[in-house]
Amino acid sequence: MEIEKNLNNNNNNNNNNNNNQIEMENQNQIEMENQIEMENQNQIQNQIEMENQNENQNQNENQNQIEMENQNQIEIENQNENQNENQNEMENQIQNQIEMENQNENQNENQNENTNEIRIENQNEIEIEDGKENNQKNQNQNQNQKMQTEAEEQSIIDTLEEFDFDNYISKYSGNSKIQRLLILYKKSRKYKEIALKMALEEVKASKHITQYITIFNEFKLKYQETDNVWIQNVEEEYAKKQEELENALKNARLRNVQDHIGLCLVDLGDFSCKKGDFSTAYKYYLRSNTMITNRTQKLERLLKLIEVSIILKNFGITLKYGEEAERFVDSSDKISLAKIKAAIGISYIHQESYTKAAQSFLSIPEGLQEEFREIITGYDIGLYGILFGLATKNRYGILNGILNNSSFGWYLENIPEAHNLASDFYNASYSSFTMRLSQFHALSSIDIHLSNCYSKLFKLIRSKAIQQYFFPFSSISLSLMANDFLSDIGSFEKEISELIFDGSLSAKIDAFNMVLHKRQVDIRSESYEKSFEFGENYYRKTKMLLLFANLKKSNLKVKKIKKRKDQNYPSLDDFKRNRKD
Amino acid sequence: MEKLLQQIVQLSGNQKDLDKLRKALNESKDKVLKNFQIIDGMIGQLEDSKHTLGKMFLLSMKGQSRSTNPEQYLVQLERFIPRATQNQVQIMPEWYSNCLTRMTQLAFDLKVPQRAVYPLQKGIPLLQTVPELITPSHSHFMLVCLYTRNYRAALPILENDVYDIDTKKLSITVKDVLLYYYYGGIIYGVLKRWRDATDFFEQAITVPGEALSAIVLESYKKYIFAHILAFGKAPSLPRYTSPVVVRLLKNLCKPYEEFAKAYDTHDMGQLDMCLATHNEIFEKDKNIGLAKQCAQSLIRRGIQRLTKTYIKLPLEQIAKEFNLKSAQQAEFYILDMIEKGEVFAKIDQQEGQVSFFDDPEPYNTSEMSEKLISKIKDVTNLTEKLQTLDEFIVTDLDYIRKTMDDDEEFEVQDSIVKDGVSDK
Repeated sequence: MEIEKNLNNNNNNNNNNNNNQIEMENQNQIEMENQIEMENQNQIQNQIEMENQNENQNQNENQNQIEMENQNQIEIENQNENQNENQNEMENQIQNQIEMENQNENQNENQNENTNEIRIENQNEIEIEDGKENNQKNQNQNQNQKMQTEAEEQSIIDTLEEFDFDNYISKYSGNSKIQRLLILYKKSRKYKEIALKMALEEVKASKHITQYITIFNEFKLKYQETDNVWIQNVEEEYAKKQEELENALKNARLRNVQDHIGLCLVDLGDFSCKKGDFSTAYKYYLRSNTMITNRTQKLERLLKLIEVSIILKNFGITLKYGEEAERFVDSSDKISLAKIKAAIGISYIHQESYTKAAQSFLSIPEGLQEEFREIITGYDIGLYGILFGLATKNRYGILNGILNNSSFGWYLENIPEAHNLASDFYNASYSSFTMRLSQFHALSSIDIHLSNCYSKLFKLIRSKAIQQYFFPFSSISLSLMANDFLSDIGSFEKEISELIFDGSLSAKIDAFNMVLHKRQVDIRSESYEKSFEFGENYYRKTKMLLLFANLKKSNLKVKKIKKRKDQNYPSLDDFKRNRKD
Repeated sequence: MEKLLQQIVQLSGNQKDLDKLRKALNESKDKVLKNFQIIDGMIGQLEDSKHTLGKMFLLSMKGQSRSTNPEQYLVQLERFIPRATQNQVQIMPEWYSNCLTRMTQLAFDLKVPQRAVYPLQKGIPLLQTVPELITPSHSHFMLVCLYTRNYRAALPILENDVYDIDTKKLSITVKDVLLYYYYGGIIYGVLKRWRDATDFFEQAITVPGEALSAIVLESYKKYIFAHILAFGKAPSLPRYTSPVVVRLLKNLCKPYEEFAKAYDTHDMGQLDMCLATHNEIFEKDKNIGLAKQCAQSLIRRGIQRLTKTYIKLPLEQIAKEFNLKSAQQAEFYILDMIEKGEVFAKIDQQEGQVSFFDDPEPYNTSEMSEKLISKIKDVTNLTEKLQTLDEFIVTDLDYIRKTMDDDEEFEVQDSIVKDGVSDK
């Protein structure tokens, strides 16, 4: 009898599988019902709990019992007295557990669908609305957060008194100038208005029509202020040219000469660049890249790809083509080599590998001045080289790699303050070093490539200086040190303790006498301690992975349960019977 | 039926006979089902350890009858389970597992869960074909121990690491596994073994899944607290956690994530604020006690961190750092921590300052080397397991096929081998 039932159960299961399709259709219906009930995910959670409470009236009591908290021990002891009551519930316990799980899996399943809702084809209206609400909420939250952080970062540059706006901006042209002005617009109060004005002027002057529109969209400017007449004029001018170029490409395709097609594509790329539509330009350059066989032309192509990818802020691609171009370039062609190395350096900055960035900038051959203005100037190379060099090299590295580096010295001539900064570091005159550093700190906050990482970078440079300062001492007065680093003793103590904690300074503070001591390390104990810890970790993690692997091997996993909500859940007895006799 | 009884008695000898018996028993299932009334008589005539195979068969069949006297059935199971012989259990572990499950069920039905503790504790090792095997009874045992507050009774089973699964011999559901690690984590938590608790919860969370189980959800909530108590910082899930699970957990446990984030700032004020805003949710989830313990541990963790950066520190400063009322309170905390071995320090009351030291353990005692050797043994055993698993994978037909598709070289080599063979 029982076995027969069992078989029936199995058959039913099979039928269910076969009817999956029908169920899938039902699914949407169920979903709709659920959607109405669960407006957002928080509510889903509540839902789960509500359901559980209703379904398993005793669950709360059960959970009490399962509680692991000592805090609740008293509570539990109170329950002890009510044991009779609890014991009535015990018989339901396992059953509840199972029901609870099934229930929840079903719920989660629905909610799973909920999060994926946009992907589901048969969306219904309610779904869309919900999604929108959520998205909007998220967006608002993000914006608020952004606003906050921006407000903090804002106006560091305004504190710098000697900042020469005109001089700073006149060094750049084209896209580089526009980007820098936009950063100023975001980060400075003093120069906000003028920066935006100049940026728009520059865009107009270079006829970057696509970029013009993007700027309006990005900064949510008023559309009334757009210069529609100008846009129309430029568009007409461009349309003609575009047609010309596309015809040329068609002709080239007809003749089917690879090199020729490549050149036409490059022309189209250049044209897109002119329009300020860099992503289209990138596509054209990329297509032309495979067609061109000539060595010098190939290098030109690669340089264009590099340039566009930097403008598009796709630095992974910059690095890829930079490395490819490095193989192509003739070592006598110093300007191209300098361009390539600078581009590679920039992409390393954005990948946060500072050592490699320093290496690239410090090995740039002399001579690059205005040729790469759209991306980087000689001044920037000097600045980047110094900052990343200081952050990653030790004292002798700075002497050999920066101060005695003749080709890099050529760039340092543009920027004597940076040279002084490095020599201050080498000569261990820390107070003037700190002073100079703070100037660069403000400047870097509005730099295109440093504005994301400058706070981390300058912390690193400062910690380098502190390390070097402390190196020859076995103990030193904290107040003396704080004095040299132009900091008050309270915040300096905090800074030092952070450095010690993250392991960059091997020292200990005597806060009673305000003295910093070099740490006495017992290497033997330390290595014992570490190996114990390591072994323990390995053992635990491997064990867990083994079970994970075995679960996979036997194909055990939490599965989605597709069931109607009103369906009866299997009782405990069903569960037992299904588990094979 | 008489014949069956005879068979059981006669064939309970060597392995060969037992195999025959197993077949005979399997064939007689229908007969037994029709003759429930005389089962009890047969059970009475059999000895527990000598006729384990037959007896566990009959007892497990008896579970399918609805008209049994539960008290009598429980007594039968209770007596039989600890006395069974392992090699006979291993022939058909499924039946024995049924007996254990039935027994647990009956103990709950009759409201005497404490009676299930001893048989389960003895029965689980008998059921394991290898000591690392995880069985369905593991989760039942943990539940029983939690109910009866008999936490220490769970330890022998808990501390025996399990990571093997053998569905061919003993079927197990994913829920059994999940529940074992959830309950086990709770028991470790009660015993304040937070690191073990963290591991158990993590194990539950990382069970492969296409959907989120309620057990995983609850495990994650407790996991965050256990991890904070064990390591003093917010956890990050292992990379092999199922992406669906990670996404849903992050969405569903926002208050918990925020709490962990607040803890990581090491700022007492922020943590208190977070605790106040989410108090209701924690209370409803019955995790408020854990949250409070975490908040308390923040000060202790902070003081422990100080020992890494300071040699001497005025008590006043410590009190200020952690928003304590007075230097006396700071002194009290440090005294307590010295006593528990959480910090190594000396208090100079005259001057009102504390001196911190490194761990004075010299690592040159014989106990330490013994500890080291035993740890090395553990790891070597584990490595052997890994090797067998590796061999299993490398020799797996599907795996070879798959890697051959990926790697053309393999095919080339393969064809060379084939050519070589055909040449000969």
